[in-house]
Amino acid sequence: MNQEPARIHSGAETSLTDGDIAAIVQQAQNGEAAAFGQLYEIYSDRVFRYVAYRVDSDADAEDITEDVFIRMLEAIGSFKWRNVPFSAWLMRIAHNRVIDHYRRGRLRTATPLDDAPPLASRDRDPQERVDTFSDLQELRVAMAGLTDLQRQVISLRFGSDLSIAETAHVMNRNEGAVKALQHSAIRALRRLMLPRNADAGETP
Amino acid sequence: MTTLQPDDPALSEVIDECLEALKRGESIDDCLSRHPDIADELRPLLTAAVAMADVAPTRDDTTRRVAHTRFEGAVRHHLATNQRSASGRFSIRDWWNTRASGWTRIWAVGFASMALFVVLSTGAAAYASTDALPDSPLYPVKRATEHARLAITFSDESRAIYHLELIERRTLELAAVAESGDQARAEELSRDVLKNIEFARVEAGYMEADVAQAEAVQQTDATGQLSDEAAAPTIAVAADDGDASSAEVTDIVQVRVDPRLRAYIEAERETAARAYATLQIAHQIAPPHMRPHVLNALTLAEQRYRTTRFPGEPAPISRTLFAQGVVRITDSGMTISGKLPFEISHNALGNRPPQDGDVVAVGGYVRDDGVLLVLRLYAFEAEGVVEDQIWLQSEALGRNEDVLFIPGFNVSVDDWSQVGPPATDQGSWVYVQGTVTDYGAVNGEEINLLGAGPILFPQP
Repeated sequence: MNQEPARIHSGAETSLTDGDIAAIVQQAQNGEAAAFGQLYEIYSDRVFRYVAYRVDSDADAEDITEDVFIRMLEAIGSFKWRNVPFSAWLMRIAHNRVIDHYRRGRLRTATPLDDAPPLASRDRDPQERVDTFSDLQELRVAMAGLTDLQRQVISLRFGSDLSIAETAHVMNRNEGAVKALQHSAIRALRRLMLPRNADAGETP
Repeated sequence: MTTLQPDDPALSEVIDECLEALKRGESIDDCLSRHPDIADELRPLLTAAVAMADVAPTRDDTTRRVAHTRFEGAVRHHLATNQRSASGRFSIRDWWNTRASGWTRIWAVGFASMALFVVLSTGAAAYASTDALPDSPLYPVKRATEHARLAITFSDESRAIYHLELIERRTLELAAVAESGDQARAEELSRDVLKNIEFARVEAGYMEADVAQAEAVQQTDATGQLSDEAAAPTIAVAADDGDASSAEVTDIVQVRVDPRLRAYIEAERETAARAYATLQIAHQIAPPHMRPHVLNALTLAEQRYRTTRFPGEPAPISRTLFAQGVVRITDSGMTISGKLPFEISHNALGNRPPQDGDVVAVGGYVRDDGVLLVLRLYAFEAEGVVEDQIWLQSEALGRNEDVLFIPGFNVSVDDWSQVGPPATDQGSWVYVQGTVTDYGAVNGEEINLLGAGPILFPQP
């Protein structure tokens, strides 16, 4: 039963160097439309994945992604390279949009429209240890059991495919703290993967 | 044997090192072999990480393309707006000219035969009129040419595609007219957009029927030879897992689509996406009184895009619908009325609170079964990017539910009814009229609307 997939497929789709990115950002700051298009190509999937880990539906994630890029468009003039990587700056915007989304969502009392519980999860043998998530929705449900910082670190590392250093920039924490958060997040998710019955048998 | 406590920083380091290795393509076992002493501790954690990565969010290509197109529209608008301050007033006409030339090129590829026909049959005036705007003396020639061309276009496929082109033309004209302030003309063009959308659908329906018939014939044909249709490419679409009857369906179903039909559907999606991008910009730069007209066409384009599906592609479980509504503020409360079919982004409010008679954006969700309604009221900046400003939000379950709940607000719905077919892929038109009866926690308080100023909610 333990047919674990062997590896993590990195979402990184770019082989661009920091210098390349810096040049593109510079062109965008100079008002070149094509450069914005390039930035979109390079980063939109990563922003989308980051957001999609953190909200209830892909549709919301798509809306927020669009919003993030509009903010980027407006604010790029104020981006200074210095020590902050562009990706970290962009994900900071994404983070803020997600927070705004939740600020609104908190007012919502009914269940979100898109999160009908996954059917597959009901069919499990309760005694079986589960090593997989049946789908993203199930992962989202599990992630709801994480702390906000844990969710953030997972989304940045796995969704946006940021390095530890970049993640540290976004989260405004040192690298050691990010690694510890990552560790605790995975450990918590591991617990949350277990079906209810088995989970109840475990000591907390 | 070394044992590491769960909170040991060294364990965090090892986990991170392994995660990076997994990303580079190593297997879990490769990594565990480097840390045999803590393999038992490590394995479940790495397994969890891999499980998580396995269900990573994915974005479908069409959505990405449309989103990219929209973003490009925003970039153009942003850059044009920035240039405006340097070079005087930004003109939609300039913008139209740059757009039209690009699109003329695009269409020139797909419709070379049309251009040829126009030149040969109706002469240079007709050709020259292709880019004519409604206030141009050549515009009637343009429309007459279109009619003539339609009259001699016979295949369902070419007629459907031609209607798509007309959608695009009317959209561009509407964008230009929106700036001129000619309301009657804008209304007319907005209706034309709707007509062309419907005509295109009708033609596509004939095409689908033809394809279905051809396939039926083919199935009864025992020659066993592959026809062109049989060799048609397949398109992977996500299966609907929200429906109990399809619970067995795997994640991806392969749908064989006739190549002509597929080309049409792709063209329709592209057209709707481009029209949407165009109208969004037009809406941003049109004078306030023109915006409702642009809005009508904008919402149509939006819905067209959302509801265009490949055969076999399941309907979304729910869709977001936004439209314009009208605010009525009286002593007893605030009334919102309007139709709720589509998404819009802006309204004609300007930098002030809602007032009696204001047109605002009202949004909601209507599920395909037509029973769930979420109502939101947005007030937006008059120009520029949408800001999060006000959201009165409510949900109603069931057709007979007469109270919508807005956290912090209660809305009593006087009436809401479905207009049009209840559950088609056209979505459901819902007419809503309601009154805010209870302002809950904000009774008598001011709520600050970013960019729109404070709004005072009256005491009950």
